[in-house]
Amino acid sequence: MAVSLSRRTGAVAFFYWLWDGFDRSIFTAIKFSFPARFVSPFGFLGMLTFITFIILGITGALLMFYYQPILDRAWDSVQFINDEVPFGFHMRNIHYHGSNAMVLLAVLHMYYQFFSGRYKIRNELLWVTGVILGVVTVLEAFTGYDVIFSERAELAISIAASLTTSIPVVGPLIRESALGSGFSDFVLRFYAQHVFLLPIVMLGLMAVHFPRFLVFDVPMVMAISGAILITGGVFPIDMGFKFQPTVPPGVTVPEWYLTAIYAFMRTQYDKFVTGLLWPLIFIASLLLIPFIDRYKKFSWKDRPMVTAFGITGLAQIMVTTYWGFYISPDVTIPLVERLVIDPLFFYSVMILLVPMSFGFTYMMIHMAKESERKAKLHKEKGPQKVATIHLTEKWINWLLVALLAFQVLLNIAAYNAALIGMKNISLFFIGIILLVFAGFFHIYRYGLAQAKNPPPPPPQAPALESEEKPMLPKQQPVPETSKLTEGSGKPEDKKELPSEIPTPKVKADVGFDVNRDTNIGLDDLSKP
Amino acid sequence: MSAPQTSHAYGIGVITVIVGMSVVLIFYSGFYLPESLAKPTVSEHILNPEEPFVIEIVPGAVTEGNENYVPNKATVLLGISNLVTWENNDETPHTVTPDHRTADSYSGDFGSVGVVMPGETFEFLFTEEQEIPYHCDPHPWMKGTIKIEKSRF
Repeated sequence: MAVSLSRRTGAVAFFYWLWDGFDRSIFTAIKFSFPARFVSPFGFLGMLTFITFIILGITGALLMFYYQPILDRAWDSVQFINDEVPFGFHMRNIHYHGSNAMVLLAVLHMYYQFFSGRYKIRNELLWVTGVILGVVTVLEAFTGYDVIFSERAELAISIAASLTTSIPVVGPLIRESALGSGFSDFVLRFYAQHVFLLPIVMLGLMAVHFPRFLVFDVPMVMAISGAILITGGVFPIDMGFKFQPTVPPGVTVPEWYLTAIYAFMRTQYDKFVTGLLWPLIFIASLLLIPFIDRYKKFSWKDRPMVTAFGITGLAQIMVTTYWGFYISPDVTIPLVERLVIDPLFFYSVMILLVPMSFGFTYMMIHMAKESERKAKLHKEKGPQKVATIHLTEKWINWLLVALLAFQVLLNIAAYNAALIGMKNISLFFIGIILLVFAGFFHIYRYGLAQAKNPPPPPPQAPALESEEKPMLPKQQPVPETSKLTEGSGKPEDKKELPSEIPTPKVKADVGFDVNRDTNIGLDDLSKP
Repeated sequence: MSAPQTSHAYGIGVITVIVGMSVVLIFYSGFYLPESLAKPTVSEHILNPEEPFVIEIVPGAVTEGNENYVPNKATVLLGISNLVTWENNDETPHTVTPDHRTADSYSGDFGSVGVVMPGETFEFLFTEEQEIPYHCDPHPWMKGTIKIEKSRF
């Protein structure tokens, strides 16, 4: 009877064969690392943005099965997806909240790189493509919520079309060629751009923007996906009202990433200047930042002008985003009057925000440096220990079992909720499942890291109260205690047994197959 | 420095949290939700009232100062006229929107979904006593009140 002692048989062997085949492909040029322990997600926000992009691609493709980009059918087909298609509600909500998450993550990613000065480490090309990628992401999200063709989408499409027309000289031509004329064209072409043109542009930009080292942190990816689903479950997106030409539109505002521009436009100043020129100047200033920033240091604390510049932009974005949402609730005033923002008031606030932000930045830098100085002074006195949770192997095992059981229960609950028609509850539970899986995976990798540590050294001689070896303490008075005075003792005495082998920050493999032959597989990547 | 302390407390604590969440989950989705979503039992008389009650949105209601919802201050009786129909006889679309969010425990949220197009109607079955001031969303000067009372006989 032949028994294979090799662990790599069947499917596993096939996957390794497949992986080795990638050697000749572009994929091995990218170094994926799967962190073996918790790492701050700020470092790989870009990767998380890409993950939401993939989620959007999948759910979007499924929505395409049923969506009809036809003027008088668009809204009805979305309603059909939402109400009738099995799991259409789930797909639509994941797609909608995924788009919000993607824009949010992209913005966070950019500001993290901005304030940490990371565009100095990588080259400027990544930064420039990143900013353009962010703009295209917003355009992609914008075209997405327009193809529903609800009342709100109709207003947004009208604004987009008239903004394009307002571009001097070439505007009407661009509008004619890119968007067409009339709503029938708009719906179809916004759709074509949403599902094909803009994603292709994004993928092209990504090919340039992606650095060679990528972090794929399974728990954080799961947590982000879970968060998207949970938001979808708690705040399911409504249908809006179908656009009907004879019905007066209600009060609508665009999505949150566009209300800032909306606020500018509501000042009723020239359309091109408020709706396109100001945002373009903002984007251009962001694009130029790495070329303007000549500070030698990275930290935001050491680059006061650049930090103040960023804080000013952030403050203005936050104020205008809120302002764009705010419409006086007094229904007795005519709608147009409720919408208009007094330009004098608005622009005074914008200008006022500049010195305020510079002052705020100065204060923050001062406080940060002061606390740094104090921390240095008190370094000796301060508490040395960091509270950590240490779980024994036994408890890690029980915890994994409990989390598995909990996930089974959640699956039953999600399935039950879907069966009895509580769609958003089931979406919520699926989100919780992903979150629990994130925790499960984290404990699993923690356990793996713990398993690699050697067992704690046996209790030392002084701890033994036995009388059997009376000679031992006299012969070896000091050597195996961990506190060593420098320069004393034999050289081999210095090598104390490490209680814990330091785990590398990122590893090439999370250790699904710890005992595998290290000469083949993922580790090939690190070979010259 | 002391060696890392391990204790049963962490394991017991985390597993207690998981068990607690499971209990909450079972209670919420198995007992709380079905019970709170269950429709109350309403007597047959109220479900099938004797006569329809029509509130007309009269022609010209869109103009401020004209009559709009007729009758404007309506009173309906449970079991007799609690199935109310708003009929839009105007040439513009209108809505029936409560001033404050109002729900009927049997029929759900009160208010027309979207607009009531000219010639169309909006129907709502009231099963509880309440008084609801409502208006038209695009034309906020159009105001009406409906009062639902118990039948006295």
